[in-house]
Amino acid sequence: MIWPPSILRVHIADAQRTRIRLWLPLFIVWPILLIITALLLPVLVLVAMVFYICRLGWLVRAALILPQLLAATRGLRVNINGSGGQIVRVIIQ
Amino acid sequence: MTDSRRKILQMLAKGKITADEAERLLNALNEEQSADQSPDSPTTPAKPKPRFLKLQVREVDGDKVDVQIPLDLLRAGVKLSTLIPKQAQAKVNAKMAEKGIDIDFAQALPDQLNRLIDYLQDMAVNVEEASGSTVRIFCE
Repeated sequence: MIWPPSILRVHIADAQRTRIRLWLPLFIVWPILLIITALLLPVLVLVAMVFYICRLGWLVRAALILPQLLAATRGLRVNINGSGGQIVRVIIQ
Repeated sequence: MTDSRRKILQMLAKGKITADEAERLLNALNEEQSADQSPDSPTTPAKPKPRFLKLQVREVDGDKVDVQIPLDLLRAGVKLSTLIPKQAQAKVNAKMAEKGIDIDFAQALPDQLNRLIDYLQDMAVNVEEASGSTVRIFCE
């Protein structure tokens, strides 16, 4: 089983030493999202049926792949260090 | 001396088997043991599969770029790309061809694309410019 990412870290700094540091605890979001999804499930099923009738089933299938795509982002790292001291760092753990 | 070898020799000593039979048994035992120790045997631990596609750029002026992309993300992206409506696929193909990537996503099956990702794992690109800048793409 692939676990969804638990922490998102963003660090941006420019040459003038303006810094943005974000530490987002995604592990708090997932249980809330799960509860909301469970509560909205009947509505979501209805919407999915309407989409299939309107020949937009691919949208429903895409929506089903999205959680997998989200979970697969775990381990993504982007680290850019400019020679002038600029930093862009995005880490999904 | 292994137990099996000892038993064969004891059977030979007691006259239960002939010398030829003992030789055949010992040869079979040797083959079995060498097969167990062979690197291709299924008991040999497999090399761990790489999980990330890594891109490293080092510029002479000190710029550094490191990108690590999980291979699972590529696989999920492949799944998503198969859901692109046919009308849009033609436009995507045209734009990709403009960039030099001549792949017909309408024809490429998810299995084929997944196999392509599997083959990426053996790929390593190492570019070194005369100025000293380097680009490395590899899986780890």
